[in-house]
Amino acid sequence: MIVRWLGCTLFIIVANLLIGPVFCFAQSDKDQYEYIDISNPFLRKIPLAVPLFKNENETVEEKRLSNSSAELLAASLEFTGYFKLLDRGAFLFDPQKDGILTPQINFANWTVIGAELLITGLFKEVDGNITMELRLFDTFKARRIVGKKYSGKKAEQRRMIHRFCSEVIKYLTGHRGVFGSKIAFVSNGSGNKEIYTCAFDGYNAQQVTRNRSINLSPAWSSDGRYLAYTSYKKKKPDIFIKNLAEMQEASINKKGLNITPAWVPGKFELAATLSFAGDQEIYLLTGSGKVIKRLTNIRGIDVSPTWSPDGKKFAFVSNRAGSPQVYVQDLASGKVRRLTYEGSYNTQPSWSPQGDRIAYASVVDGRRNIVVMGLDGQEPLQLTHESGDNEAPSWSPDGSLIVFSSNREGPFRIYVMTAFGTDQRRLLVMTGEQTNPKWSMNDFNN
Amino acid sequence: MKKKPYAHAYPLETGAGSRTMVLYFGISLIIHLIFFSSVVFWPASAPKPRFSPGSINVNLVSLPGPPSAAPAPAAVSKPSAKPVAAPKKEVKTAPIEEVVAIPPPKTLPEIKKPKKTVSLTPKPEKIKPKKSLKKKTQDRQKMIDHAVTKVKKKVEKSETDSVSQALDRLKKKVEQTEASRVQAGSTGQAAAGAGKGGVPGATGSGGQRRLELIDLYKIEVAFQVERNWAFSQQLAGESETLQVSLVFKVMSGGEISDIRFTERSGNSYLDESAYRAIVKASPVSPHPAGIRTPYVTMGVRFTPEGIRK
Repeated sequence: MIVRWLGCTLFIIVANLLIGPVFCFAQSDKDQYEYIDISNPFLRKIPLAVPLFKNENETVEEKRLSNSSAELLAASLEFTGYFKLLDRGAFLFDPQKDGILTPQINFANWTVIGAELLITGLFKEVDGNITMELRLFDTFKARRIVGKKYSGKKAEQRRMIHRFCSEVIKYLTGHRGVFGSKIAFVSNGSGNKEIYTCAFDGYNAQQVTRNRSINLSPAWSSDGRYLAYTSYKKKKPDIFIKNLAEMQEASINKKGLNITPAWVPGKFELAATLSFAGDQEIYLLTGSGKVIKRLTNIRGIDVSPTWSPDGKKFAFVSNRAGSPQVYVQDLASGKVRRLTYEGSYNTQPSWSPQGDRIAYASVVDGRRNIVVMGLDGQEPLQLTHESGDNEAPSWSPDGSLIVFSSNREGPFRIYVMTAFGTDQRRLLVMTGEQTNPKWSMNDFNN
Repeated sequence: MKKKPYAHAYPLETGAGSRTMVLYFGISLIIHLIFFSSVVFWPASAPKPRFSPGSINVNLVSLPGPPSAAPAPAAVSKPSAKPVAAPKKEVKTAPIEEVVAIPPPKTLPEIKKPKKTVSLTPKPEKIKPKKSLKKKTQDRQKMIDHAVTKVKKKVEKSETDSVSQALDRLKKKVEQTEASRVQAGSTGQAAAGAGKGGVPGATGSGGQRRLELIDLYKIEVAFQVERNWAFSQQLAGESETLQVSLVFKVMSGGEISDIRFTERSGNSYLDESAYRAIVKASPVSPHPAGIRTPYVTMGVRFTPEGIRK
């Protein structure tokens, strides 16, 4: 009997050992669905709805300000290239009648037209003071993401709107975007090449220099308080460092050339090309113009330094290999690496604020075009094509946009595009030619 | 004296020791039995959904006529005359084979038409900033009109493309199955019949192709989801290697329900955009007449890799 038991047990054990794994494999084969791959978004932007604001008093002046605020909000957000602004004609929404708070909004009315984000506003104007309540909604989750209230004078309208834009972008990307930044550039509209600044969207261009000579290569300090530039006002190129608030100036006027200043991020120091020792070399200088040390030391021209965001490396242009090419140098070790090999004329490097890429102007088929290259040696990416000469790229403080100058419409003007080369548009219209744009790294709204 | 009665019962051993041994052996045996039987029977109760409900009861008939799939029925419609009761039976007998037999749908990644105009790509031929910029700066209305017509064209193109590609794919599949059948030694008659466009064969081996209708429908739904996918790579950052998979049910009227993630990418923006795309696509076109299940369960995988290529 015990033999039979043993035999029986043995059989069960063996059978289980044989059959068990089959079931186990069957069980592990959980991937029961066929997946169809989707890799082409139909829209490469976020569909955003910005209806007109609700007015509290409905006076004529209030309506005017309220509508211009809504327009500015929509235009500013569209400027980033992240959003597709939906046509107001498609909205099933009357700002005066329908509510603007979460429980009052019929989110199905927004999702049906494809809006993924919605911004509603409540606007009030009394005696030149305006109050705005702005709310950002996720229409699919039917919930409010950002809600802010701003009040101030009429003149603060732009700033209020841009503060809210910063909040929206911060929610989406983690950084505050470009809304508080400015762009400096050179314009010869007055008959001389003078330096101007304007807001990120080209608004309110203001002349900074008035010396009726040639002024070039503006450079913002990281806090936005100083603007360094090259000027020929003393009949030879010198660097001037202007304190924008106090309108005071320091200068670097050594023998020979003093050109292409570039501020070290987060420091009151800058690199520039000086030729007092005979050869054009890059030096590190204090913000008041004293030489700290010589950075490059090789026969040939070394110009146009641009700093990595951590201030530990800089890229520059050198003709040490015969043609102008972009090189990267480590500040501490002095090690130099050639970055560009394609093309025989690569100049005007600009290091991205994320630190991973460098934009520069490259001559391709006889025309200058903007190219972006990764520091890891990834393939250079040409961003402008068949549209005249494109030069002097400069990154926006969040690294999402690039400003550059182009003569695609005749005279050189300032243009903006996304870091991928899409959404290329003109920034502003002024008399004369505009060149040499430089985006500030700080937020002037704070 | 006392040993005798036990001795004949337990021929291998004698004495009190053997009794306890038997006891322990019995306990051990019971535990083993419980353990192994649990291994054998327990998992068997779980994997029922393996046989995806959509694959049973499928008769290959013409698509109902959703506008975007217009060319599709023409090619597949011939078999519609034959959805008799007989094939149904056959399907039930061999449902597992059918589920396994669906070849991975390869068509979707090939739908590349929209790319040209959206132009995230850096290549010179694709971006023509000069043109668009001039229009933008000179005449907004003109530009908008231009864009609208462009988009319209694009939509038309990509629609017909997806369908024609799906058809191509089906044809290929039919050829393949046909080839394998011929190899297996089935009659030339059946081969001729199938070559015309996937008639469910008179024999049981035709079951494989009965899935084409549901496949086609799934591809169509996936395409409708794709058309609703808004995704900004700029916002997502480095997302080329990410992918997110979702599974959902399509009711007979085209409503989508029970959307759930089967694989998240780790990038919440990508995950959400994928989820929204499916929500936005609902309702998709209703089930074609041949699908008799209350719902179709299908999976889609979103991969932004195509954006920069």
